Amino acid sequence: MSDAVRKPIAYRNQCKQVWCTGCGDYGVLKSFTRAFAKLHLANEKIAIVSGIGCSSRLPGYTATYGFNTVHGRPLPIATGLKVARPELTVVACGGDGDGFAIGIGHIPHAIRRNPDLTYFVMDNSIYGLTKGQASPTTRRETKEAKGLVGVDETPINPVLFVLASGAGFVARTQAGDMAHMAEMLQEAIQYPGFAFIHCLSVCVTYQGRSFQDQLDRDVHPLPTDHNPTDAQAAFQIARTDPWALGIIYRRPLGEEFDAKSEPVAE
Amino acid sequence: MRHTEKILHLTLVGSGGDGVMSTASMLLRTAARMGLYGMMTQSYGPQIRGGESAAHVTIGVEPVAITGVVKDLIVCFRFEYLSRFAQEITAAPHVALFHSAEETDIPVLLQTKEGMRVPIPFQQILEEAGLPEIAKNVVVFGMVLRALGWDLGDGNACVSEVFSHKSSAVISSNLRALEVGYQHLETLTLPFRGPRHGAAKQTTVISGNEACAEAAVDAGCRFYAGYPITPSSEILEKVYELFPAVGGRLVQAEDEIAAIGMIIGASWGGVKSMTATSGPGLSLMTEMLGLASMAEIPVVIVDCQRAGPATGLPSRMEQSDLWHAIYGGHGDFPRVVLAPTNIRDCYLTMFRAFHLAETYQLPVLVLSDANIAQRSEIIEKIDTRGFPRGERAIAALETPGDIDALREGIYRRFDLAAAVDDRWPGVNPVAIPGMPGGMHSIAGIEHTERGTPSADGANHERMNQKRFRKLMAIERETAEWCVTSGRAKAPIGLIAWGSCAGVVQEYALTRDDIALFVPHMLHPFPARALQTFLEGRRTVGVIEMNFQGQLYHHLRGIGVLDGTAHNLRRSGGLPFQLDEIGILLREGGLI
Ligand SMILES: Cc1ncc(C[n+]2csc(CCOP(=O)(O)OP(=O)(O)O)c2C)c(N)n1
Ligand code: SF4
Repeated sequence: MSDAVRKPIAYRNQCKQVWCTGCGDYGVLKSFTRAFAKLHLANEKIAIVSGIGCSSRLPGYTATYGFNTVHGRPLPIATGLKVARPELTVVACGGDGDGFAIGIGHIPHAIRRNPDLTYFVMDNSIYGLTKGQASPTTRRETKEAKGLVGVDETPINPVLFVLASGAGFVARTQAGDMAHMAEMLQEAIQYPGFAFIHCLSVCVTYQGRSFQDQLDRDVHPLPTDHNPTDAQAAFQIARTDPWALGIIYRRPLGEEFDAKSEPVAE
Repeated sequence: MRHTEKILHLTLVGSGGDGVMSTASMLLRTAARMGLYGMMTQSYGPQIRGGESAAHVTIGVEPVAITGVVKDLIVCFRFEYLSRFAQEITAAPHVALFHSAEETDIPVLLQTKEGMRVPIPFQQILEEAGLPEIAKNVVVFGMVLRALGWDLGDGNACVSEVFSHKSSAVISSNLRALEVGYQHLETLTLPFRGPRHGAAKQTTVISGNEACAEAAVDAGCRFYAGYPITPSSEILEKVYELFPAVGGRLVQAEDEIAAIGMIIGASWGGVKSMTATSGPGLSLMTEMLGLASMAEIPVVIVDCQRAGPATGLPSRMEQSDLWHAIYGGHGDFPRVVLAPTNIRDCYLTMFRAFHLAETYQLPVLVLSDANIAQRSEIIEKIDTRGFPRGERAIAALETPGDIDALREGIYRRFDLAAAVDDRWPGVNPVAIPGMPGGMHSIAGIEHTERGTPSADGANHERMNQKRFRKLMAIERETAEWCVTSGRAKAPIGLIAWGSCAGVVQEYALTRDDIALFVPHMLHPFPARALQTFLEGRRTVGVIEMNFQGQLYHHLRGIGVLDGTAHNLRRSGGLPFQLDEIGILLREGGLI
């Protein structure tokens, strides 16, 4: 079994998924398994570490090693694991609340340490699990329309935040486009350092149809002439275009810090 | 207080630039070289850097358990600093007082009939010898060396060792400073003699924090994550120094939440991992203390207790994190709490901590405190060969034969049936990420045997039973992890823990009506051993340093003490002094 090239299904366990019908997280799960298959990763060499939220249920559904931790903390735990087991492919994941509210303090520090792992944030711009409160990425119009707390607070811009913190790989994708998600994930996993993926996702239950409509209308690929190694261009996109999908920034190797992965002696 | 040639109490009081700590530490190192025992404690103002400080050194022919308050020798750079340390310093009748020559008004505190004053023109000595200001501490070291009648050769060896990583010019300048100090007091004869020869062999000078770090690395710790906090930071620094030689990795985390997260992650990866902190950090770690227990991941957390809640008294000691350690956190979860009583004990305690954490797959807290953490002692080298070294049980895994088996998963991380094994109750062999055939997920959310989330109350009850079964086994294994002393028939039975145990023990030695019980396990508590100890005692008292009587109430709660037991306690700050123990016992009506 171990040498056979595995199909995406081989990375999915038999646990019943409990997301709402139509939730963007189903697509994310499929894109994960597809990327793993494309990269011919052995199941046991993959570890997925999540926080808490609907999106953080993901590692419970993969036939890999998984850790559904506590709210906001996947990054420190994933970092510790990667130090202990550098040979593993480590993916940290969670929601926008998990990452950009309670867990945001860990992001710049994970970036500074630059462990070779991928951080995948499913940004549905709402707290799904706790039933529909505003998250730090909820747009003001949405909060106003839904009567959510924090109408006066401006949303955070995850891509800009992560770029400004010095991340070497930053991409945006959307849960509705499985092939694109899988492609971004493959690129991120292969990038030797901290890689961030911002995934625009839909919470059908608490964001409703309007958000999906907006995504359908507004998302678009990055301009064809975008050069992902151009930091200035990346910042420009991050600041001005919240709907552009693709690899926004990829620092050329050898520039600034490279990921470290000397093993720990036992 | 008695004065013999067997023990000497001295204190150096100065401000930042006077180098009292380094002088005191050179004295301690020299004493070790001479086969003597000793202890050094430091006392600071509320600000951790700058400001005035006192270094208390006690040197003895026998192992030293506390630094005494009644001083034989006092070196004071400025009398005005003394008032801050009034509770810690009393002059013996024969005291020798070295002070700056510029100061002439001797504080009342230091005026004694038989004592001797030695005014010292520090500035002039340095200038005449052409020595820089920073050599002052070594000059003073030379003076004290001479005053105590110790050999210049021992001082030379000490200076060479202390400055060994510096240039040869720095070394020779310091050797000269030592000689200048030594010669300055060439004709002095003190009104007392201190210990000059000892028979201690193979000793080393070490602080409690350094001892915890050394022992942890020795016990196999290879990952450390921590956030600096007084009085624990030297553990981080020492581990960092020791790791390169053994291939360990250390991360200075962005906060204590990240620190405990990282050690949980690394330990999940199969590497023995620890962190160290103080109360504020432990508060931040509390949510993930529960995660480590729930996901059954071994971690060791050292809490160098300081005084008070919030920021409290950062450089002072207290024993007020006991409840937090035993009960802190939401939900029911097993954890272990250990406490070393002195620096030697830090070694065994750290080995035990890793042993229990790894064997039983749960978080283990080690409650040190500011006193043990920061003080230095001369101790005999510890032979750790007989110490427990439990390893995590690793699952024997089968490679799944086909895709269905792979997806189904064969391995049950939290198998209830397997966890009834008598030797390791509640414990399952683990699959470490990376091992073929062991794929599974673990979670902080309640889960089934396979680690799948479950909201079923009956499953939660079974999982609680499984996890808490570990504590029963630990209680059996650690039933004798305590030390008792005193006569079996002594009418008074005292209970003391942590660094307070030493001074209570010293006091108990002066009377034959007191026996002492010192638990090294605080949770689960060696209750059976305590009950045996208490049989036939007329009066029982728990001595501890916190306001609420945390150990006392814990022991009442678990039913080993009844309402007739006394609680002798005060808030933290300075360590208990010997006579204070007598006062507490008298006030409590025990003696
Ligand atoms: C310390 C803590 N505070 C609050 C919560 C409650 N909580 C669980 S998930 C969540 C937010 C969920 O939103 P998000 O992270 O965006 O994930 P989603 O459910 O939308 O996928 C909150 C506030 C918690 N579990 N732990
Ligand atoms: S509540 Fe929203 S985020 Fe959660 S499962 Fe349902 S659709 Fe998905």
